[in-house]
Amino acid sequence: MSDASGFMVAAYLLTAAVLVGYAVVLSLRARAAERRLAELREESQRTGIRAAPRELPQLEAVGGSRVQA
Amino acid sequence: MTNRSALIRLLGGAAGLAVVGAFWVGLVLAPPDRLMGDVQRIMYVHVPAAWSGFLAFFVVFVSSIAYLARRDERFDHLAHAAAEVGVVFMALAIALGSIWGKPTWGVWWTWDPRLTSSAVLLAIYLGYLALRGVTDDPERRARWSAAVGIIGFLDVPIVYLSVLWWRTLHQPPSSPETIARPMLLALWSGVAAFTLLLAFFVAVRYRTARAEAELELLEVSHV
Repeated sequence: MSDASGFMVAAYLLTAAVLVGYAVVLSLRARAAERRLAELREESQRTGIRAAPRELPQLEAVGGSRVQA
Repeated sequence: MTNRSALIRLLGGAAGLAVVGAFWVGLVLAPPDRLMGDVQRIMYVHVPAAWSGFLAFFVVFVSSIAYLARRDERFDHLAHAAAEVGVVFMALAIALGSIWGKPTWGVWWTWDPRLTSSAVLLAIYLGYLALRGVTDDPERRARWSAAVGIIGFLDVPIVYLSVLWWRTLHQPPSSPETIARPMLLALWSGVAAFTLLLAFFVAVRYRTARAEAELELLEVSHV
């Protein structure tokens, strides 16, 4: 194999390693997030604690002015 | 398993097979180039990787505009997912270009306009990902990221047109009419396979981003 072919082999090996490696990392991260989510959901059901609302309600004072809670 | 999970798995399987097929076409079916020999085969992975990076950044651009228009956090999650996947493909494209450059140009790297603008593009989206870690407020994070996602995309046409605007070492885009059929097949099969893989990666990363956002809320509640 010539030196130049070595560069080609290196390029294809690098491509395969990056694509497979990233797929494995994605899969592990997805599993970890879903496992943790399942744990917290179970804990929520057990303790009755629910997720905080993303948007806080607007409270209207008697005088009519709106206050962001 | 939900329908969506099955669909993502199917997409992953199809993308994996397509990449194996594209490697076979590029390494076995396509002939070596008359002047560059086997090194030219690097183009069959370098060009698809760069294309996938550009396409991912286009998804970030469109999702960022959609987020600012609708304030729907799903667009922010999609932009986040596409930015991360785009960074992987862009970094791969630059590394492959460098491996091709050494035997062809005699250097691993040169501050040529195409190479420099590509490095700047990678830095912009690395910055985008870093910016997301600066604030814990999901709304502010999404707004800031959307601004970078829109402005950052301006570098994509600069990267593409740099070889036409300036005198560069990097060759201008090839015309399909001037490429031999088996070589064109290798290039197109690579582009198709990497596009499928991009869709699979973004779909998986998007689901994780959604789960992470829900986790953020639940963890705050449990503190």
